[in-house]
Amino acid sequence: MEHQSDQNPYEGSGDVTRLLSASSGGDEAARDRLVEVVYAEIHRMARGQMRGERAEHTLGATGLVHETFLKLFKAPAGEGGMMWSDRRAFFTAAVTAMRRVLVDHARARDAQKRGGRNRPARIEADAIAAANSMSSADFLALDEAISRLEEIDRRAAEVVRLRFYAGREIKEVAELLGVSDRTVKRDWEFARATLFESMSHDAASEPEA
Amino acid sequence: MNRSSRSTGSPLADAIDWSLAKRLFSEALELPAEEHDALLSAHRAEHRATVQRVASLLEAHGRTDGFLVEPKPRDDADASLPNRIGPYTPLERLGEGGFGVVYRATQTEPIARDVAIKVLRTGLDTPEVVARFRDERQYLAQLDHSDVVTIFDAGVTEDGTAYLVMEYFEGDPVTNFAARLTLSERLRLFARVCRAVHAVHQRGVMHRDLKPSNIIVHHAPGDDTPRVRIIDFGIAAAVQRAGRDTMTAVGAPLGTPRYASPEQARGDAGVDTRTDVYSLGMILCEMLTGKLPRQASSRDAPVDTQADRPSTLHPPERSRLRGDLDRIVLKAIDGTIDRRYDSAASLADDVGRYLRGEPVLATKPSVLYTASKFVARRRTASALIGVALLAIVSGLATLSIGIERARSAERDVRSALDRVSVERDRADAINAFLLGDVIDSLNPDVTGQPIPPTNALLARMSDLGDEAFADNPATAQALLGRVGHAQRSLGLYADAARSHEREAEASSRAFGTHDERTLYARIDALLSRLSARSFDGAEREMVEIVRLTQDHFAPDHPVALRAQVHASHIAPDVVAGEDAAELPGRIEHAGLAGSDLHIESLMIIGDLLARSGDPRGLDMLLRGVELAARTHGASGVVTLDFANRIGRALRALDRHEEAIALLEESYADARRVYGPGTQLTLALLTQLSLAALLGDRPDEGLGHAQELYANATENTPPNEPFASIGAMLIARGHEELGHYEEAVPWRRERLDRMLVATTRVDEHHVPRARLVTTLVRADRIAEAETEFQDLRKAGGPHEQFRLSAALTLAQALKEADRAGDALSLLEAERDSDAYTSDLAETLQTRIEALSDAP
Repeated sequence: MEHQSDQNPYEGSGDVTRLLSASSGGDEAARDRLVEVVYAEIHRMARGQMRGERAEHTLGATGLVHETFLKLFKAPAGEGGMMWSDRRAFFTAAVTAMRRVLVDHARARDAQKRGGRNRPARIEADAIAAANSMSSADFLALDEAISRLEEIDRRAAEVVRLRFYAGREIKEVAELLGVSDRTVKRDWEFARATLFESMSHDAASEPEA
Repeated sequence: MNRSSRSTGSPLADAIDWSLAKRLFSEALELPAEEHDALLSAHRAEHRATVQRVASLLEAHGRTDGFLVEPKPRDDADASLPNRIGPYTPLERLGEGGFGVVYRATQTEPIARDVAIKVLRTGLDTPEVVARFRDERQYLAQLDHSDVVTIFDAGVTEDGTAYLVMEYFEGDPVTNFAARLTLSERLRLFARVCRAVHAVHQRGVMHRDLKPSNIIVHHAPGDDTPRVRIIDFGIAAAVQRAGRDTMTAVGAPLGTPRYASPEQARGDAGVDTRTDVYSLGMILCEMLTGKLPRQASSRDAPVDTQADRPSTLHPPERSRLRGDLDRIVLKAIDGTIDRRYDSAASLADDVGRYLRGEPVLATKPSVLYTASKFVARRRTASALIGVALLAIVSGLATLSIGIERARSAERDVRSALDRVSVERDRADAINAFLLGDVIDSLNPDVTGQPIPPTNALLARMSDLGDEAFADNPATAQALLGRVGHAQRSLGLYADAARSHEREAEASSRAFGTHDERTLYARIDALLSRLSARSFDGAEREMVEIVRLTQDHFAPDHPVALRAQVHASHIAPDVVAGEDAAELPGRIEHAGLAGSDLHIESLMIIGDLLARSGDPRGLDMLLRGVELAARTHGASGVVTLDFANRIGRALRALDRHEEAIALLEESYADARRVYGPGTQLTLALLTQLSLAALLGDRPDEGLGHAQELYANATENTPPNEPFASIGAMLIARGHEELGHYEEAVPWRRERLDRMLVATTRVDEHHVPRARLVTTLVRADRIAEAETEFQDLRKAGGPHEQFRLSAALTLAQALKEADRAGDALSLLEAERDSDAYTSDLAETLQTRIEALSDAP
């Protein structure tokens, strides 16, 4: 995910539309630079969303990603816009950026204390809300569980990430991935069961604090 | 740290078949818990570890109540209901569309009803879009089609939020609704949707985001027939007009990817109504099979590949869509725009043909590819194909001729080439083998298909001309021109229009936009379109052509003269009366006596003058028919066309007996040579019937009218407008004979056919007025009153018919001792301001007479 940027030909480029299309065409350097750009925005905005700072007006991951989109891609009238096929590149970058923000944030906090049995009863399918309601350690555990899910079912993991980190609804995920709503739902339920099981095991396997 | 066998180390180490696991898991979730065990045991023997995993997953899933749940709506302003939106009160939030949030709301003024309000999402509410929105409201209010949702209002709230108000209804997306229907019901429903889309296209608005959730079917309360509602039409238009910035402003650009055409996905600027046709094709497939066709390339790949390969339907769906339906869908969703149906109406027509068991226009792609590949390799000799086929078409009676005779036509073709206006050197370069190739591609022994009927053949040649000669526009022009003329003479007006339009394009590229060949082609295209009853923009196009000829050619140049001739009837403002009358003379003196142009001018101008009662008109027509008979033969199409117009001219001069004599003979000719069901024959029969009806031979007139109707309705689809005209003439015949009771059902049929044929209210007006009158004469006053009320609701021209209906009805009411009703009816007419002053005077006179009478 992290590349050395001294070789990156897009370094410093703010032309997000170009980055987007290059990125969806498979250009890795463009993809990395795109993540940088998106990250800068999301990070700036997310800071205000985390617990303890202006919590009363949280946008959630959906709103945040949406605002980022507007901010970055609102071109002056008359210029060409984003191609439909590039949306996926954008949301992929947004997922990566959002993850980075939240995981960094969780690590920076006190990661020693584990939630264990104090895990909240309700964890929302929204990364920001979840991060605000869970302990940092639990949040990291969840992120890791998603990575492990990726090993056995790449698409289900992508479904989870698009929902959880980028706030996309089932319909939108279906469109982005080019599958039916039903497929996405099935993936989602499967993922939930797997992730839940994974988290439960973590809890069970920890010594009581 | 404990490590159990179920630890969260890499599950791959446990050799579990995850795709099976996922499948079983998903299936189990759809069954009640008691049946899980049965489902799993079936696989337990072979996949122990996997099944065990699934079991534990299922168990875990049972406990995931609070885990990764739907996020609560955020309690900022967006999530809660606004108190008011303009003058409306929102009641509940219905959902979120591509453009913004939709609420159900109530309206209290001017009437109390539920409405749906769509509030534009932030990012879309730039000043430009909002301004456009307001402009659009006027425009959208005129999109009055029963299958398109009605927009009531549009506005902006105090805080600058733009909103759109439309009728509220609840229903299913069309694909869901279709699931309960039989195949033919689904197809009929789909055809209806297409016609609604087409009606709006004809007003210049495209939808650009057609998808099942935008096409709602619902039942109005107490109504058994489902109603179709297409939504978001106007919004797409409003947003589209506001400019491209809307693509970037929101995370949901126009067009839902699964239903969006390739050119939309690419962001091409030139999307047109065929983009909507694409979406309709996708929707049709989904309506029939429940799934969308899977394209050969994924949508995320560079989209060019979609255009190159013919797309295929995923095999399971293919079994459901048999043969022709398959092809209809494929034609609608063709990646190459030009190969699609050119309008939603054409798509609906083909569906109609399928329903009636007729051959559909969508053909197997492979034959066309094969033929075009042959032709593309040899760039020359295109004209030969066109001429060869023309020889086949015109020289031989039917196409069940056998290949041998077609080959012998090659000799005829070579000599025919000398007569065709193709340059000499091109003629010499003709590759004789090419003709063989083309014929082989049509040879039933080779293809296993029967030789296609003439019109399909010509259509295919037209396609070939376009595709294969993109690099050689000059030859394309020659070919397409010939094909177009052939199509026109066979009455295939829509096809002819397209051929000529492409001819004009090719000519433009080869010779320039001001070259006479281009302008001739444009005139031919325009005339064909008019013959196909497509009148939109005709006058404008005519004026433009005239202007171009005047700018670039001397006044007596043939192309300038031809433009003037046709402007006289298409754009009469441009060519004043006497100027028009002089045209045939000018043409003659320009050295073109006896030419096709001369004959054409005599026909057009003669007809024009005759209709306005000018005796010169008839003279011109008689002169013209003489020339035509010499050039085209006594039974030529042109000659008989003249006869038709002469008959009409004679009628207009009250010389009915002569008209009848001429028309009887011409009709017999046409019937013998061209068959009873062709345009020309039916036109002659129409004139004959009219002449008899108005010439005091009502029995004969009625007989002819019945024959007309029978001939026009013998085949499916019936030949409109002749079926409609036939019905009307039958009614008239009965009326002339005093049998009003028999006339009523025919008047009704005439009205019904008009209602189906056109959505223009002013064209329903006259038939309805006639119906009222006939009902009155048949003593069915109550029905007449009902129909009259309908008549009143629609405005429009032809008020003399409405007045006549009103007066007749009033008279009948008075005679039935309902003078009071009669008076109020007439007074209401007077107050309606529907009449011009002279008619209003008549009305007023009548009112006074009624009031005075005892």
